[in-house]
Amino acid sequence: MKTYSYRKWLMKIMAYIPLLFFAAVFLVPFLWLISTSFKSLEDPLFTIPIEFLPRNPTLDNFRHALGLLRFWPSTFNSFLFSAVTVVLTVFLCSTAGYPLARMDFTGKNVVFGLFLSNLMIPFHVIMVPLYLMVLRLGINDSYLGLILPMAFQSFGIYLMRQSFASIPKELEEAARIDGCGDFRIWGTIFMPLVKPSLTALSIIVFVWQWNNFIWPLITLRSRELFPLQLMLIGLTSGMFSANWRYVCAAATLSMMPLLIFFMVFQRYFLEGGTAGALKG
Amino acid sequence: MSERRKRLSETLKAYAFLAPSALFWLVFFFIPVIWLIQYSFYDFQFTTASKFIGTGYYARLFRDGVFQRALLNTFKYAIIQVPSVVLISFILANLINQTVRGITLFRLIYYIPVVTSMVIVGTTWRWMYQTDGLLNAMLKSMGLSGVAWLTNPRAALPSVAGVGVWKSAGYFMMLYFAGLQSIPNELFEAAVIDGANWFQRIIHITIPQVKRFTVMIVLLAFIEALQVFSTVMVMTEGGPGGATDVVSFFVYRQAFQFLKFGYANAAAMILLVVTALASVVYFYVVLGRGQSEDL
Repeated sequence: MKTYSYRKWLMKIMAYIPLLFFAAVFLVPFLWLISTSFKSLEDPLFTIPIEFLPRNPTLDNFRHALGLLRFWPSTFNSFLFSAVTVVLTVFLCSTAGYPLARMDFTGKNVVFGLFLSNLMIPFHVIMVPLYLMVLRLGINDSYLGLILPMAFQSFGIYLMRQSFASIPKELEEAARIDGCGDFRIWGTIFMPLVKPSLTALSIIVFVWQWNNFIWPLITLRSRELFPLQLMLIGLTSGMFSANWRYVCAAATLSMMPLLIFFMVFQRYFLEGGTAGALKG
Repeated sequence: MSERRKRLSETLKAYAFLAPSALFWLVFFFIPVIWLIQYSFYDFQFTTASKFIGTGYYARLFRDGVFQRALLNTFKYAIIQVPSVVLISFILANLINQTVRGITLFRLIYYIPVVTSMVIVGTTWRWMYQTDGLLNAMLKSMGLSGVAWLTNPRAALPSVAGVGVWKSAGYFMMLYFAGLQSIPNELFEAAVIDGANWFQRIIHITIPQVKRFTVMIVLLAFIEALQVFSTVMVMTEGGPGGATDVVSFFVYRQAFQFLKFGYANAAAMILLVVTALASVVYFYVVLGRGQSEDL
């Protein structure tokens, strides 16, 4: 009996070995980045054996990185850019999702099919004509040009359609007897009921837009409008890339806002039907 | 008659709801798609289409050695990335499907690269891949010689693909995890009673049971790999010597560095056709093996 429980205990410990191995695979690169960002000029960057703890830890690199990234304005830009996109996308997806789920009208399947056809055309394929469109509308190098082309999300319409469809018919009928029209029913009865989907959609769009750097890279010219990702890419590929202490500090700083966001909203990322819907 | 009028008013109301989305779809998707096709046949003066030139760009693309190399690199990238990411995400999903203390923390850790921006991931790995960086220091401490990860033309593409695997493994892990959770527990219990060991359970229960997830994951990973852009953009910008130049990066450079919008559109069209063809062939192969009832 005693040997049995000993073996069971050993098995439990063994289960952690592969888990810890992969945790190291995913964490060590970040840890090395963070450790470098604390290393002062006297500390060697490359050593054998590897030194994770800086000999003379310093915050100097962060002080420089804050300035090089224009950290606070860029973070504000990222936030504004992502938050406005979320509001617009949620509005578009919930207005479009409702009739596709609850109303019976001519051309329903055609509209749904056309809306979903986006999923077949990857962004990199239409980024060039999309840029030409933004030029023609005269909204190049502006928040409008950054946000409007990103607002239509097929998967969001699909998501909202699914959750509107799952609401029982009785709720709608009761409201109709009370004399509510479709717009009232949508706004006062359905929208509160699909809150979980709205939250999930908001989080997905927020993270996706926060991490988006290709579209800002194409449309933005003015540095005052640059989001965090764009400032960082300018830093790592530019002339500063020689100073890896600053680059690492800048990358560490840029990582923090979204990491905090991820920790706060972790259950939305790793739970239920929306899990895996997000692609960074 | 009143039935028809009711239908008409319902249709009008529905389109009122759909109007905002329809407008965005039209302006920022449909018209650009038309332009994509149309402008691949036009010569450009700066950003304005000026002259119809027929299939000139397509003919030129097929003679363009740089484009051919980019196309070849894209396929190489996919061949390295897809099997690796599918295998690793399957392993990870099985690991996080255990019921041990603290498993949520491991799920969280494996997912961090997915939510981290490619700019940060790319910077992190450029630092890992330095000549004297952490990776080479580890190799040297094991008595092996270092690798010029991003500067050796033969190592660069696999190195970049490795970062792609590292970043998206957690994403596909969660898809596989959903698949694993859909397997009825009785199957495993019965197998344990029959004396099947862990390895046999994986081969005979898990893999067949998640087959339709594998079909989907392979397709998603493959499409993603054919579109590869940000890893290359952030880490190598196509170098060294074009060794990591891929089609979407070719499109980007033609349009936004050389202002050759027509040529870029033609290359994007080829990327679209290749992606669509690959998906169709893939489904044809999968369905052709008589697995359609699983889908």
